[in-house]
Amino acid sequence: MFSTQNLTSAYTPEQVAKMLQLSKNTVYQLISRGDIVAKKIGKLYRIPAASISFFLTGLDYDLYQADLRDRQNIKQVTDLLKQARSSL
Amino acid sequence: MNQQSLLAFVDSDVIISSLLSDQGAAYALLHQLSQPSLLISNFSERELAIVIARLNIASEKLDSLISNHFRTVALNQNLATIKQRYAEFVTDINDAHVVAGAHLTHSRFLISYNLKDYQIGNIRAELNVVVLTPAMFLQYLRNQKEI
Repeated sequence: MFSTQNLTSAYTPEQVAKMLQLSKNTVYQLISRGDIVAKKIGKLYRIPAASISFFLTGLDYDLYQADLRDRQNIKQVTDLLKQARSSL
Repeated sequence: MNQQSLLAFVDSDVIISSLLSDQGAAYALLHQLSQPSLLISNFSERELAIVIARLNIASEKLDSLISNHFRTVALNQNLATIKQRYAEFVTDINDAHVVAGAHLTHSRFLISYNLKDYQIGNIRAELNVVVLTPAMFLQYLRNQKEI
């Protein structure tokens, strides 16, 4: 649902309400309080995926990205570490 | 926050990750906190030496990282004893020394990417050690500053 690819996407308040299992009004309140950053285009709001990162991953967007970067190497690291530990 | 409440034992996968990328959460964590908050053990040093050799990373890089950012604690028990004592907290018995390191150093946190191989519920309940990934720990630190 929340991949690197769709982090570049933007959502409507209705879509975000469905993803976070909140009412649409709650999403608008979160936008109003600044808890969710949204861009108003005419009468419509669009919410970048990055601004709801914390709600979906428990991490701010920059930390989520940093986590993903390490995970690109983690399988190799884990495999090598398991080999090393078995030889201690 | 006092220093004791931030004491974190760091799994070797985090240290290796920080050597592989300076854009990742592991690197950010190690360069945000420093000794005496971050701990490793004599067993960590041994396995790290093996892994970085296989990755063709210069040993000087590891030595510099450890001396600048970590306090190394010698676990005065043999590995067999450690495995017996901490077996219930891991799914891979060879990871037992990591849990032992966190527990015996009275660390509040164990930082690792390998959450699936640790019984994190039991570790928290019985050893009072919270197991987190680097990004989760950074988020925790960030949230503490905001309170």
